[in-house]
Amino acid sequence: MDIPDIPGGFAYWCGAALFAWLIITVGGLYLRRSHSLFFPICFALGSLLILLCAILGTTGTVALPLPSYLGDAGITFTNDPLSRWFLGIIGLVGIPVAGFSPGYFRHLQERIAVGVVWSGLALLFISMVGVVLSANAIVFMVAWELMALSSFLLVASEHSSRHIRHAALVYLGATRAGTAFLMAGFLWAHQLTGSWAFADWHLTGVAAIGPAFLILLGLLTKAGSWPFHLWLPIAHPAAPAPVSAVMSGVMIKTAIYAMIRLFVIGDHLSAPYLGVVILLLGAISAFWGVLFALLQHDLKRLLAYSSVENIGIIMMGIGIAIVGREMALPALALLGLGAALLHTLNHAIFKSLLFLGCGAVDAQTHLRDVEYMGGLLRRMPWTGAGFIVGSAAICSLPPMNGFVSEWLLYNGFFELALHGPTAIVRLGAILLMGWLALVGALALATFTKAVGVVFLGLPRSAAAEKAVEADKGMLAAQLALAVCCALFGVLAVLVLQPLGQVTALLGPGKALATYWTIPLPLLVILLVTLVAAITLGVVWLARGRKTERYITWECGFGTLNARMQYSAASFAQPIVRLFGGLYHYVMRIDRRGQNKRHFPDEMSAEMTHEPYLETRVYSPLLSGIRRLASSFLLLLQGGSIHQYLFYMLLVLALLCWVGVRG
Amino acid sequence: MIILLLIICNILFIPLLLIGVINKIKALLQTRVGAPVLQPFYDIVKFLRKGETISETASWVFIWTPRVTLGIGIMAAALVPWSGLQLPPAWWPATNLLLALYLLGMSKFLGMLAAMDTGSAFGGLGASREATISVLVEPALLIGLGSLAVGAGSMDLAAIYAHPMHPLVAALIGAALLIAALAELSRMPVDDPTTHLELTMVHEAMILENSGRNLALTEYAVALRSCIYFGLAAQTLWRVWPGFSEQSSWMQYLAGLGGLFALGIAVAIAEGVLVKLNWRRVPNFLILATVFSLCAALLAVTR
Amino acid sequence: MEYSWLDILAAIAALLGVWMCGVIRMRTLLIGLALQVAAIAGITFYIGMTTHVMHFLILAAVVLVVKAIAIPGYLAWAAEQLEIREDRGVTMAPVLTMLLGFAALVACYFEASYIAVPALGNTGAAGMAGALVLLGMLLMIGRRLAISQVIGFLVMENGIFLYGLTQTPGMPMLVEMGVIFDVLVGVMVSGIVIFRLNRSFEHIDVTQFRGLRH
Repeated sequence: MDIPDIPGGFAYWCGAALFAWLIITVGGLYLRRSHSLFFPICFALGSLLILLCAILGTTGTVALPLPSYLGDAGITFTNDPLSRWFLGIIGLVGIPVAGFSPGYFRHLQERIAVGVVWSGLALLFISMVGVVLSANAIVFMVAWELMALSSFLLVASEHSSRHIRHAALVYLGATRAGTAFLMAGFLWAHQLTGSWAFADWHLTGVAAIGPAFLILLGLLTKAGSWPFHLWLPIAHPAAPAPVSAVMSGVMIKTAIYAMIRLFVIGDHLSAPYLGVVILLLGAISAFWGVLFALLQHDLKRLLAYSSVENIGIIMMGIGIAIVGREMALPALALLGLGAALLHTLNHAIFKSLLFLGCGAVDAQTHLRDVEYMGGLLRRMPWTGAGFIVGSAAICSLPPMNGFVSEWLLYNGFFELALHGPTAIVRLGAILLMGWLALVGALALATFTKAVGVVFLGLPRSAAAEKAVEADKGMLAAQLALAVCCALFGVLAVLVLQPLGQVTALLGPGKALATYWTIPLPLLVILLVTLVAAITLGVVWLARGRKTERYITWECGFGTLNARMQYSAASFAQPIVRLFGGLYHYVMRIDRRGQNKRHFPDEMSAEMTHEPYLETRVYSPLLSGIRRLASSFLLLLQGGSIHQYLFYMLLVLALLCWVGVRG
Repeated sequence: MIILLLIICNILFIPLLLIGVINKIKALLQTRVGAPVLQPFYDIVKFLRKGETISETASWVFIWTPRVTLGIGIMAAALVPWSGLQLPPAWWPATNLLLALYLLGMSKFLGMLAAMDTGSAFGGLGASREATISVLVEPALLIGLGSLAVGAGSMDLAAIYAHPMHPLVAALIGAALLIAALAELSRMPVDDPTTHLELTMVHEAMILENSGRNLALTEYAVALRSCIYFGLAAQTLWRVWPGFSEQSSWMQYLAGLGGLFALGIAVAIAEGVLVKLNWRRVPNFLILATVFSLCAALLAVTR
Repeated sequence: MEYSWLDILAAIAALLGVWMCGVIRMRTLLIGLALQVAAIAGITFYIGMTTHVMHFLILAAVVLVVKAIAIPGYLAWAAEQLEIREDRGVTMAPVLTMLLGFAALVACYFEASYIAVPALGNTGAAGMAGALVLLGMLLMIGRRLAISQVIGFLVMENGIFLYGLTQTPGMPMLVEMGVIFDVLVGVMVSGIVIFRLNRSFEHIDVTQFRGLRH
């Protein structure tokens, strides 16, 4: 960049952004019910500053002075290309969210305190920037906890509803468990290296296994990877739409950031089997997430499960990057890391687009269940168009951005299939290609269902029938993101260049952009020309003939109504049956009336599914823990104040003993 | 230049001719005279010159989908060496197999949306079944073509087919591609292309609302897709014979077209003899493609 | 490209075994069995041609006649008499059995050197033979009808025969012939037993034989 390289120059950009957000954080608490435009403008300003910092900002390290009695950690922030990449994602999502929120919050105003939500959102962004910039484990942990708590507040923002309180508590529980593992891992690493700074951690071999896997557990919980994904489809739908967009699009990616920072770049923690474990968990997550997304009827839950899928895809990239480093295949590491980072960005864009679209539908129809929607494309044309673009991107169809990242990942697998050391590894790589294709086909089915049932066909309820287009701010936010989806796909070089700077952290080697050989701009121009020629051709050939509008064919039985359309459940049913071994799938059909076999008066069908993972693994585990805890707690918590004082004495004695020994 | 002309001729004439031949053979098997071989051409021209009736429920998705899918189909047909012909590298650098598969995926996505756009009960049914078939077939296609790519050391389709293959690998993947083609193109035994019974139909259900130019474009796009799939299967099956890649490029081209039509005739005969599978049994049949591809992958990775 | 007919035929036999795991229709299953035996007879013939040993050629002919024509023909006749057309398998869908069969094939393929006799250099065929034994077992585990159990047993026997063929310098012809006719007699006897079973219980569903404990 042309900007003179002031050491720590990024601190000014970030400092300004953090200041803007801090004002919102404090201001929101005072103006709890205010719809002032000050919030979105200030918020967008902060996001813009962060985005500019990512594009123009300099790298370096900034250490704030620290009183000596607080230990040797220091409040240190580092900005390198990896951090800049994630700062870019934060800023890029922040701006549309700021544009979307005022319109969306207006429809929620009886249920939430808007100022408080703004305050929490700003705090969430501050903490995410903190996580991404932190240079040592202590700062990381503080920012991480701030992130967990602020997002907990956001999930609970509609706390008058009972199931939202439940969702928030589940989320809180998940973050606590994750943090516990993470903290244990950090402490272990500190014990082994004697330093809190990430830069000083260089653990390899067996010594790294303990801390690496503990940290991995913590990060997996945050990222929502299988089998720790259960909180994600509960918590994300509970939050207001812009918050879900930020949580799914950006917040869970901080765990991805930490994985890349600690496991991939710079040899900080390279434990054996780590890559394979991440790769396999990613593969399972991708499949599991998309399969359950297909089963959902609640649009937001569907999108949340699809986040599990995409986290899985990203983790597959990270996994093969680590495997590539272990097997000394630099091209593999490069492609894996490139795919993971690019998919992180792409998923941030299209998932926030889809969540915002879902929010717009929610705001205009007050519906969440897809079985009551339908025909919204004619009523909300721009929202619908944005949603279709987002769906095409999430199914990684060319020329959208998702295609580029999945292409890099496929190339990574192919590289492994060509140069893997043993035949079984090469076979595994080909199988992973097929697996990714399976996931892709399932994603195609899922999002065809979502678009088809929500936006196409006849409206299935009065609310959907009376829907009108969302306001301008909401539309602008969605269109901006949709344009990003197309732009970063067609002109992939735009993002591959800066991405090359990040992957260069792996060491010298070929530039990432040289692997991208598909001339998508040419392809798009060709396609547009072809479609234009075809359109002109057919219009000319049928000149003079009229185009009629008429009813849809109803087999001559009279008026077609919306209930005759395929529902979301019926769309998914054949695929759901294919994988019926993974969950308990029940279709209960209820017929009432005389002669009910052939001519029932009333008929209803209900589809339920309960995943075995939840009913057979987690539920017994949790109830076991609860039983254990209650009996154990009763023993500890006797209600006698003397007993408690005795505990204090014990702890004090223990501390003294440790202090004397140390 | 000649190659470009030939490719254009291929795209213009072969697909509909293939459909015509299949229909003729089927008619002969049923001891009917059948429509002329060129009937699909007449049909397309007739449809193109007619007016169009569009459902009141339909939106722009329905109107634009046939045009875009045909555009994508033409582009894919120009890029994929299904007839053994390949655009010179100076004009088009590479035909990545992922690009080809994902382009076809894009047209599938639009097709399914268009089917659901009219609010008819049939559209959703067809789209749902199409999605199911693609879930079963897509992994087989990628594993199969991927293991060919591993053998050739490149994901470029032209390079893959220029490289000699192990005969067993070629046979297995050819069979897998053929099964995948039958499923993707809604032919017997997965779907009956002539049926109009909602219990059985897949593709016909999706295009029930199309008429006039919309129908013509859709039919043509499907014919193009048939050519791409059957052509790739024929190309792969030819390579069971190790001497095939040593033949001159014209011989290869003619043999490729011959193979394409031979497959078409085989499909027609199969459609005359076989019965359509129960929809619930279709996965049992399609998984064969995956298993064939898996076995081919096993052979391909051991050198 | 270098490849040997022996390996290709062994691979075809094993692939047919994988395919058979997923086949539902009885006739198709028997055709699969016949083709598999034909591939193995082909291997016998090939060995005979390369080593110029007469008895392999005779063996090939006998295998073809007895195991590829007589036994499947007899079983097909039996199935027709019993009006059996398909076997849907127990709990596990045949599709899943087929994928498991592929996994077994992969395992045997990569671990073939454990069971191969290195001096003969037929490592690949040994893996395929091992896979056939496993596939036969899978077929027996996965199927419902007694007649499919017989087919599974025959697949296992094919595996053992293939192993003997490729991993030993050749057994005395008398032994080979004896084994083949033992198998023939075994199949005949089991056929008669299946007929008797069908007459006594009106079905030959082995999952329902659990009731015989009482």
